[in-house]
Amino acid sequence: MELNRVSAAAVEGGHYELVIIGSGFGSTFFLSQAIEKLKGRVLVIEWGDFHPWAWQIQSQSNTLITPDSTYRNLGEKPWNTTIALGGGMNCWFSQTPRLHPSDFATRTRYGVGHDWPFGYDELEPFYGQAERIMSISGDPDMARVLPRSTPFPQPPHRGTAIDRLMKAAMPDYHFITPTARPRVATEHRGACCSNASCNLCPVNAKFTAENGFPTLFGHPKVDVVLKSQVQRLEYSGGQVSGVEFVHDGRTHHVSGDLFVLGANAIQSPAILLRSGMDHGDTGRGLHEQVGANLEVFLDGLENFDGSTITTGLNYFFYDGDFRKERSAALLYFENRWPYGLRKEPGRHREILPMMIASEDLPHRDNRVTIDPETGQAIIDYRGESDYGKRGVEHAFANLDKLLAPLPVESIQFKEWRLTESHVQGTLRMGVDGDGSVIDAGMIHHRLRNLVVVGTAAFPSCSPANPSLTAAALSLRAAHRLFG
Amino acid sequence: MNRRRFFVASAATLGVAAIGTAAFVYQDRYSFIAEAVRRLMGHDYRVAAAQQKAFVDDFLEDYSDKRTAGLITFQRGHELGLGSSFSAYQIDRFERELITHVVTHTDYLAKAAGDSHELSYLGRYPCRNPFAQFTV
Repeated sequence: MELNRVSAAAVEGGHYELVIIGSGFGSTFFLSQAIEKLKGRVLVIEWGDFHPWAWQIQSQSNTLITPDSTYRNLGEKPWNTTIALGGGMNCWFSQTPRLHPSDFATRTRYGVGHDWPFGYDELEPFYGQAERIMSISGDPDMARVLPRSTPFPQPPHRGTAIDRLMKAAMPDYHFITPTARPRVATEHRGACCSNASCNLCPVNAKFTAENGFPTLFGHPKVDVVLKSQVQRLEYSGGQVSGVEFVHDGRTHHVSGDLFVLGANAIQSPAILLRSGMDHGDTGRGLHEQVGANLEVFLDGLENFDGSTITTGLNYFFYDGDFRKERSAALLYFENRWPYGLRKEPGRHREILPMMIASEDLPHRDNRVTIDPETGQAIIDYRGESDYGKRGVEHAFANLDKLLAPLPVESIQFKEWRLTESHVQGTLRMGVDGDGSVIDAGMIHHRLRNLVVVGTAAFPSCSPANPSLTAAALSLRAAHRLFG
Repeated sequence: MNRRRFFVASAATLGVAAIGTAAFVYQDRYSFIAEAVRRLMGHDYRVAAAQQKAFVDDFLEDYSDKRTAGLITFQRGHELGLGSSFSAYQIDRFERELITHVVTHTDYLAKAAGDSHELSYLGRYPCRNPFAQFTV
């Protein structure tokens, strides 16, 4: 990966046309579009270091910075982030379902949560663009639920024997998982080998900043300063003028014309709060999916012959008027064994591990604040909603009907999942005055040269994995700004 | 002495004695795991002593030495009629993990179809899904 790494001292007092805080999905996809439109220079300020894929495999770690060292957590639920160049692109498992059209309008359709300031159709072209950039492998039949104007760039993965039965029985609901784990190798990436260790992909198959944007951070217009934590934004008159950051204990300043805030949904609001900017529900509405693990024992049907870690997604419990009362639920059919194979000799593979993910309802009291003395982010999370749990419970209670095409021996609820490692919703989009922090163009309501990117912008949760949507949102935001 | 040993027999060479019939006294993790493998796999699979030690060492590191020590206590309790649903669940989890390790970290799949009961340990990071298929 090419990288124009510069020292903090070298940029001290400098001026940039674009200053980007953070380098995860939101920031990097925005930069990928903005770079060709800018006349001046770009500075990327990243708290973490650059850890090449080879380093990550050798050290079996994505970064040296542990998540819980970056905030104080008042609760027990872990909130996983990766502080490093590329952010979540380092550690993600590369599941890339789009959000469902109804996810953008839960208030209008079902009277719960917040609507997005635009609909699925508005984001659809940018979903397609993000999928092309990441060489997404996907099932064309999925267009029955999630309409698309362009084909998936790569063919779908091979489903398991279970997926084949489910697809035949439920062609409108069961699909092969879309993923940034390639079905076929690309110029910079291997094909997924179903090794089920995606956070540290042994064959460099999944999309990362390093293999997906190998020259972006080495572009002649781009400077990258690493191991530098942004403390606050400097602003006046509705415009951000500069950024204060700390590197090696020393404080530095840079100024700029346009700023992008894409730290993560914990650190981005913390930066705004440290800057004295608490407009709307800044820091409020922290949420992620509600999840549970299940196991289905089968009689005479073997699993695990698919070509990637998760092969099937089932949308049967996803959308309908029931969302007035309980959450949407998305069912993941796994091609791995988180609880091991079966014990019985000759029946080791007669098992289907599953995961149910449902949407939570963001609540204002689940929030990120800052320590008034140190400025450190504090997570005050009171728990997921009963609405979110009800979707999981309903799906589990009715799973026997859904799995009727399979020779089910038994179904066991294994455990509620501690976390999906998604962090969303602390700087949500909306209309000024409704509690939102940024507008439909992802521009801060009060600071009109500040673009907020990443999953912090999500007004509603959705059961779907958020990274593809974060990427598409940034492509759209950059398109609106630069054309 | 034959350099290949049964999973269960090798426990003795590791300085462990299996005493009694209903209640094994698992004096260390090696004999506990060796006995569990023999019981669960249903055959007296044989592995070279050095490979077996490496298998157990790596399993203990992956599964956790401390958790395994706890499992020994649970197992002993069950054999004495002192088990609980919690300990039964933990034992089941352990046994499934162990079987999975044998199936995926040795050449068991290649040997299972044949007559040979001599397994080779493939190391700590084998293919995580030997069942995966990639053709359409």
